[in-house]
Amino acid sequence: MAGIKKMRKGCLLIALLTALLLQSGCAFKDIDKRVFVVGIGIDPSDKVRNGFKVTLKMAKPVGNVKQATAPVYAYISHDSESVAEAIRTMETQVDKVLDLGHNRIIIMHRDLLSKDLDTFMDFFTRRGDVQYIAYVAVAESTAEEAITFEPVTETPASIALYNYFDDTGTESPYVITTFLFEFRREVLGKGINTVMPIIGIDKENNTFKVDKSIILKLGEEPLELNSVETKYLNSLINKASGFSYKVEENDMTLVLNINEVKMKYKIILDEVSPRIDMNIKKVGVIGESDKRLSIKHLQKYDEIVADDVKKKVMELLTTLQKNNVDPFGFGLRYRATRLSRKDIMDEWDRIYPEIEFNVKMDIQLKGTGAVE
Amino acid sequence: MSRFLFYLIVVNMLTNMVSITPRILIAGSTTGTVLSLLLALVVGMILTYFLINLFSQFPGQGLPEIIKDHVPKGLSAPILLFFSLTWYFAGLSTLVVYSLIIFRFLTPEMSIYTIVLAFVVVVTYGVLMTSSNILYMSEIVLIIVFPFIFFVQLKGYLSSSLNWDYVRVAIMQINHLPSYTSFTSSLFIVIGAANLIIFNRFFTKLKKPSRKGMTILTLTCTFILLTTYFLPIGFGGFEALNNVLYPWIATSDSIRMKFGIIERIVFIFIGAFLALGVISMTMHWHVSLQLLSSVIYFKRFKWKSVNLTLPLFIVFFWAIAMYTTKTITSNGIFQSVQLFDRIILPIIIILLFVCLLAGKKGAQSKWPESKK
Repeated sequence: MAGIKKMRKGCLLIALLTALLLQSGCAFKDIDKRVFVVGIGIDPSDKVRNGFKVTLKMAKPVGNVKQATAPVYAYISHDSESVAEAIRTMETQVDKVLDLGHNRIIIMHRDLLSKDLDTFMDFFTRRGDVQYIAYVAVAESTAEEAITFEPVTETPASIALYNYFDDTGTESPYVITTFLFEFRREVLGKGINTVMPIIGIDKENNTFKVDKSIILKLGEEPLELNSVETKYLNSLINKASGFSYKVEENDMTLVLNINEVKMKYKIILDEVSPRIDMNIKKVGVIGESDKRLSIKHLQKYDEIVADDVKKKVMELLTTLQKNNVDPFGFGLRYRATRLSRKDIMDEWDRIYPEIEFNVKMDIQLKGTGAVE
Repeated sequence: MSRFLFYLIVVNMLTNMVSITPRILIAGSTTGTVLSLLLALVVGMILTYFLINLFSQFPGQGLPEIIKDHVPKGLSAPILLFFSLTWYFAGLSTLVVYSLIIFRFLTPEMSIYTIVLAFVVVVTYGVLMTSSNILYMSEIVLIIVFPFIFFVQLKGYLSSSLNWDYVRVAIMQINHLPSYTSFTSSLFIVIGAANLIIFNRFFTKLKKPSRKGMTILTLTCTFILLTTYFLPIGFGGFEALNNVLYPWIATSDSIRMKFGIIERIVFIFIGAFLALGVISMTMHWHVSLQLLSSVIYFKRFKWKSVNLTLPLFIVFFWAIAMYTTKTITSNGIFQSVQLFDRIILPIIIILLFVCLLAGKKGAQSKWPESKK
């Protein structure tokens, strides 16, 4: 009996081990039969009416990264009536399976923003294999140019565009990061307008330039922010550190490095005029000065800076208000602090253009840097 | 309270986090899900208390043994068959949902038959084990998987991309009366103790629920139930999530592990839940099979010394599972789970209590006689 039992167990073991042979990996398509899309650009089409021109950046598999001296990417583009059709057609142009699962960036043309965004963004969230943590961005000229551009700092087996947004490479308050899931929830929901970075190209230095941003308005012209506004907005909504600020006072020029930002706001309605109380706290050090500084006078510098920064923030807030965009999500907060009603967002739409801002700025300089 | 009892409940809860339930809850987000959640928690905990209490009076007995002597056979057979069918459906819905998830997100090129087969083979092996072995297995899997799931949830809660305002908007819907569908769906999550219907055979020394045990259970249930509903909303937006088929997959895809082994957490997340899904399916089908064989058992249907009744049933299980997974649409499974939660679940609970009380009464009236 024991022998039979042993034999049975042996048979089972062999059967299970044989089953391992069926596991051919990569879901039955080997890696050399796939080509990885690492960037998607969408432009309005010149050839097809109301169509799109989709450009793909693809990583070519190489045997050994060390041997490759230049970046190993291939680019193809196609015009079609919809994004899905264009990608389907491009599948016939490459000999391998297009794998969108590794794509981390989707760049779109600015003209597409005022169109119905659902028509082309739908494809990406519907597919399931496109990452929700992909970045969405807007190209300054055309998406095709932004996707195909290879800056001097791009090394083999790395993608320069990713490094701008993923918080592990360069970190700058000028760079706003928007993920696909944020884009989706904000475009399809109410109460907050999406901010997206603008990717420009610096032809002289042969590099990218990501320092501006654009605020979406559904069905309308988007609002573009210049680099200073972008910096302020980013430091407030994303708590982006590395914020530097220049003060000019009594022929003395200071540059501050702010590395900690805290922002809180409250919407107050019960008094005569509706207002938003905003408390901002910034902590930092002095980074550059053309005079010798005294550590005792830090508090004086605090006040000077606070007044100045407050003015800038107020300007930003009123610009946003005038254009009726709301990247902070004040509307969402309004809705989040009141019991649900049917027309709560209509109420907010009436309140927002007239609301007043009351900014309290608190700057804390911790030191004068490494020298006095 | 025995820790294995705890596993029965927790496995059921966690498995439903990824399946259809969150979608049902989110679909009712503007019509009273929040109050339904709270109500379901209270009712679920009370029901769990009484279920454990009642079952503890029949140590080591499953429902078939409990009602055998006290309910006429003409009545008990259809009741047991009905339970068997419902438990089969519970397992089947898990199988269908997880197969669809794998097909959509992990291996789009694989045949759906292969996916179902891979599941069913493992589950069949599990189903034929004894109740105690299934509980031991669930302990091992939970110990491996639970820390990871908890980590992902924690990562989600601490993520800066999580917009708490959306969660607050969802909470602010508290002024709607609870909806029946949301209530029964959330009740299904917390009512895992109903698996005692067969697994009580394992608990020969089940005690009445202690205060400490119930407190831990309530806290766990509250945490998981609220996370199931609110965390996806924080990531996916309030309105925007309405048309997402698998909110939790989208959520885990939105959580980014910057310095993790892989940045995209969703694959590990799906893997962890697949392990749980297998356990849950094994439990449900084990209950179903045991109930079925307690009613229908062919004593002479034998090959050598092995009775073939159970293998016959399992062949039926396979065939139905294959057919359903192939033909059902994702809306179809949504509708049928909703229907199950709305109509069948209350019947199960009421019937279960009636049976148990009948058994208890029968046992009490019998005691004096047997003592003589």
